[in-house]
Formats: sequence, structure tokens, C-alpha cells
Amino acid sequence: MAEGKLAKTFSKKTSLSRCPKAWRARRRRGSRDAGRGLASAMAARIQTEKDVLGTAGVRGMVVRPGLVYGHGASYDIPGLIAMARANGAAPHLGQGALLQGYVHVDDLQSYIDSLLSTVKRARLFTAQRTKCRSVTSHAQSASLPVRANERTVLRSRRCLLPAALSGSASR
Amino acid sequence: MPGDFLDKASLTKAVEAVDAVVSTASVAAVEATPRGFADDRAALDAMLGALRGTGKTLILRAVLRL
Repeated sequence: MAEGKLAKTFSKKTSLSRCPKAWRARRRRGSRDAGRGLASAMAARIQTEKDVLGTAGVRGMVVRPGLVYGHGASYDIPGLIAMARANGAAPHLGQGALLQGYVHVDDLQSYIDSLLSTVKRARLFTAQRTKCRSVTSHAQSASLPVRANERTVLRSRRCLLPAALSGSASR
Repeated sequence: MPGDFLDKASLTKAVEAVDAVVSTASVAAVEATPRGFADDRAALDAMLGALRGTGKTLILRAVLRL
């Protein structure tokens, strides 16, 4: 893609100032809906974890892994690269400061094996192998295959969240 | 131990036959719909019901796709 065309695409995708008022209002509403859907999903997940850790007579453990990669199908990195190809650069949420780590599926399996043999009581664990990087940094890496020169595209949560979390599934 | 994650009877039978459960399956991770989340929760309830009071281990791989 020519540099001029890429810059035009980037500007078109990111510049809210060029949007009509109605579109800006719609995006604000969508962001609020996405926030409510995400909060609800998070609350349900946290309750699930509490139930695992708190059920009587069960040695419950919860492992929160980073993004898992390795054998077979993978969603995150191929998905980012596909979005970069579609939009000229890879997207990230908000300011992109959220930190994200990765773990290989074999490492995660070894970690869980070690928990089975060493941990005696209910506990919560996190598991990630790589140093955490910001989502902006991951998006910049995913932009490299499309020669976007580390540029990224700001996207609303509504654009990236699954339909159920963005509040649109029941409409 | 073959079984169906969405079939409570087969899931309970499988859980009762093992010493420890590592739960990595998630319908919502593949199909992030309200029904997917409900299916995950129902499966977890079935497993916890079968494990309660046994002293067996349940390791849940937490999932929240964004």
C-alpha cells in the first residue's frame, strides 16, 4: 500500500473530529454499553473463581494464564494481523497502556502439572512466560507484516469485544 | 474418560472416575454468547457438585476473552 494511501486510511479510521455528531454520540453509547457488558462478564467470572476456591471438600485452584499460544489454532496474534491487513494497521483499545503477557501451551501444561503435585490448598495463580508488554506494543508488532511502520489504529471496545460482551447480542 | 462437556450426567460420571480435574474447556471461549457463558457455568456447577466433599482437586483455567 502506498504511503499516502496508508496515511489516508489511518486518518480516516482514527479521526473522530471528522465524524458527524450522530456517529460520535453512537460511539459514546456503544462504549458505555461495552463497559456494562464487560463489567457483568467480569463479575460472573470472578464469582466462578470464588466458587472453585471456596467449595467445601474440594482442593480448588484457579490459574489465570496470559494469552495462550502454541500448537493448533490460535486466535489473538493471527486475529491482530488479519485486522492490520484489513485496516492498514493493527488495532488496540483506548490508550493501549494495558499490559498483556503470553504463555506457550506446553509451559502452561508443565505449570499445571507442578501445581497438582505441590499445592495443598485452594489458591489463585497467574501464569505467563513472556514479559508483559502494552497492547499498543503488540499491535505495533502485528502491524509490521503490512508495513504499517509501527502505526496502530485506535478502536472502541465495541469493535473488538465479542457480541455478548458488547451488549449487542440480545438485540 | 470420554464424555460431553454439555451433558451433566456424563460430565459427573467422568469427574467421579478421576483423582483430579483440570478444566480448560470453555464454550464461551469459542462462542462468546450469553448461552455460551451459561453452558460454562452449568458445567462448572456439575463438576463442583460431583467433587464436593471428596477432597479431590479441581484446577480451573480462567478464561475471559476480550
